[in-house]
Amino acid sequence: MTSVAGREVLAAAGSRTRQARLSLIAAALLVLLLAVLFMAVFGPMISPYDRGEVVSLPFAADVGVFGTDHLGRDVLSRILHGGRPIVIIPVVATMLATLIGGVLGVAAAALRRDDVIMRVMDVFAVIPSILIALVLFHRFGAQHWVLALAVIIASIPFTTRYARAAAFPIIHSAYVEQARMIGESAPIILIRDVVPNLARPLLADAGLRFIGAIYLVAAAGFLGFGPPPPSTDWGSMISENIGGAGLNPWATIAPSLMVLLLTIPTNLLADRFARQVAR
Amino acid sequence: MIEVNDLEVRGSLNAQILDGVSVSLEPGKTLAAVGGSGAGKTTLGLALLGFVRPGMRRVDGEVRFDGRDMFELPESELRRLRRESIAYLPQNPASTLTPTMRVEALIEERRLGRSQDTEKLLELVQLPSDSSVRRRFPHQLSIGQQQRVAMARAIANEPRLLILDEPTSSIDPTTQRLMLSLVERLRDERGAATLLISHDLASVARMADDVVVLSHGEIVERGSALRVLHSPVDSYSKALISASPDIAVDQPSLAPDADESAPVLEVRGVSAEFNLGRGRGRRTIRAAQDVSFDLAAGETLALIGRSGSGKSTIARVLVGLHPPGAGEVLLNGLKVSPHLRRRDRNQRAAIQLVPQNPEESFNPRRSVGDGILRSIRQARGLSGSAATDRLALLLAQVQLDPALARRRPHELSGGEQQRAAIARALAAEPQVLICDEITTALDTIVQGQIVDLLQQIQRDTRISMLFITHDLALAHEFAHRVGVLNGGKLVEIGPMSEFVRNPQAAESQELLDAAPSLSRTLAARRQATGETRAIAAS
Repeated sequence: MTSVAGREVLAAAGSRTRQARLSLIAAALLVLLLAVLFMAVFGPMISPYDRGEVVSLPFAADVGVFGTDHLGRDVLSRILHGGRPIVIIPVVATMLATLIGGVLGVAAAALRRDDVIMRVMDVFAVIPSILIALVLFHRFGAQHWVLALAVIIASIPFTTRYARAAAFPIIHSAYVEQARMIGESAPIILIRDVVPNLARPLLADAGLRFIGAIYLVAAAGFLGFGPPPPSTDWGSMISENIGGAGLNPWATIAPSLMVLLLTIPTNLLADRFARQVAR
Repeated sequence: MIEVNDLEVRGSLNAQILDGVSVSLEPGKTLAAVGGSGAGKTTLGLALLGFVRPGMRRVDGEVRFDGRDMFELPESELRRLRRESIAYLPQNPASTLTPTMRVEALIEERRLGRSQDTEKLLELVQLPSDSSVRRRFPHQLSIGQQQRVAMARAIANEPRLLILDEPTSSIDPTTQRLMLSLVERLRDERGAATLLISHDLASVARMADDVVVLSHGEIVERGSALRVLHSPVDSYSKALISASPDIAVDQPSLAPDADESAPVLEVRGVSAEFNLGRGRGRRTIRAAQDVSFDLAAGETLALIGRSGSGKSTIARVLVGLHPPGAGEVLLNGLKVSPHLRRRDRNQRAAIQLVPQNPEESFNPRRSVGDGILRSIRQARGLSGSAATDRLALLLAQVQLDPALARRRPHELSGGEQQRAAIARALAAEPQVLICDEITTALDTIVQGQIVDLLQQIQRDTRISMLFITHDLALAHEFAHRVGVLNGGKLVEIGPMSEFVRNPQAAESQELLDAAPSLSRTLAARRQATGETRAIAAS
């Protein structure tokens, strides 16, 4: 008869070689992701040209590293400039959505009658995120904060549902009951017992949610709701240059690759983290 | 038929789980494996399926079934062998039922078209064989019924090898008897070999032909059940057997040195119910009905009853977690609020609960010492060095190494967790300590240590204890009085010594009959074998 604790320890140990190989992959993914994030944030500083500078003819394949775009601007420079919105908007919006969803979810889990919160969430959950974004653009214009707001509104129903499910067993756990029995106040229980145990699962969910946010930002750019010219993002670049794919394919491939290099490692790492938390 | 040769299994950090274990199982015979937690009993049981749990690995040795090493068999062969010839019942048999399958499908799956049909199998486990059970899903059955379905599945393929891992620990007495008789039947009619893993030495004495005693992955003693259980040689076996509670062994008549004048706790006509489910499927369970009893200072009252008899509900009512529908609770003659929130600090501190599962009652992100400190601060208003001094004192009182208090709950053993939970309850300096099935998850040796600890604390502090358990034999060792619950009603209450000699209620008699007694079972078996020998000689 091994205790539950013992079993967890054993399961965590696993086969050592397999474990080592997996962490090697994870490390590689992390390095790749950090490189992309670094490039997105500090890209404008190392960019050879300005984002609006016309350096050659449109779709010239033999200029610079990736050639020029539909207006003859350097593709590499625009990629280095176009990373910020697609990284920063999803990060900020996902953090806010997780925070708000976390609060709502915990409230729903703690309340006896949580139908009101959850039914409102269900209504929002059925609206496609891109539709929410389009409606908001129509009303407020295609600005960064509007895009962030769209991401938040689209994410909250899911973060709330997830937070509620994660918080429910914690709020009804024996250790919270124990704290209540010695007369601990609700805010203290929330801070000492609920939040620390909720943090990891919520973080894991935020990682997965982040991918959806990147998708929404990239999709908005592709649909022409990116930042106003001459600023840009990778999604807008794909749609701008897709017409010249025959002349300079790199003008389309390079920004697409960047979106992939951002989403795939994030996805795999978030997935991995979520699985570890669930264990 | 099955031979385990020099099996060596290691876990993480190369920890030795099984160290050169050899046993053999014969058709029609039952081998029992006994030992404390972590002795490797379950690992041995699973090895007979050709299975080693993830995180563990077989380093050496073999498990031969009909001469073939199960660890060398191709996966498909191994699966076929398991499906057709082996049955395994884990500690909680109900957990083996797939929730999306109906009872009949669950049984059909295991029957493999063999002789007895589903109807007959349901009859064998004493379930109605009509559609009322057959068409149901597991969650629509009571836990006892689920266990019976699991048993029907275990015998459905007429296994040649039956592995029972602590089969009786979560089962009420009636179901327990049924299970043991089914196993006996399978053994006698089909010649099945059985491995019985158990800490219930009385059922081992009843069932087993041979016994191996495991300690830290090694067999420290082996022999016939009668010999090992009656006169063990190894010191660990001796400790294990003497720690096993026995209802038939007379206890010195326990009289609390309590002053009879005023009870500390009075429970007056408490009724409690709770709702299961929501909306139309909602059912109301009457968990306690008009329950009344007193508790004097320095006294231990055992509340016994099978699962679902309302024991835990009463504990929750007393601490204020479950406001009762009717009745009241008096502390030192004064009424306390049914609601936890409306009780003041002293009232809350006065009644403390040691919960069923200590591990879950500690915040997994914090050390257990931190949990105890919190109780010291909150219930007694101490802080700073006064609180840490008190913590050191409490740890010494429950004999828990202060270094262990810095660990998180899952890093402690079951016994250590329980000591920490007791320390946390004592931190409030309560007048009443409620222990809700606190020994259920512990092996008999650790069980005995915890009970000794509680008795010592009672002697030192004259604390009153409400000891909730389904283990009458254990309660009998140290409770002054006993109350029997059945279906939420207190059917009998009185001094333990009288109760054991002359139980009044039918339920009491039944619990008493079902209570394990190693000495009684051994005597009965010796007599039976003696008789057969006498017949053979004449």
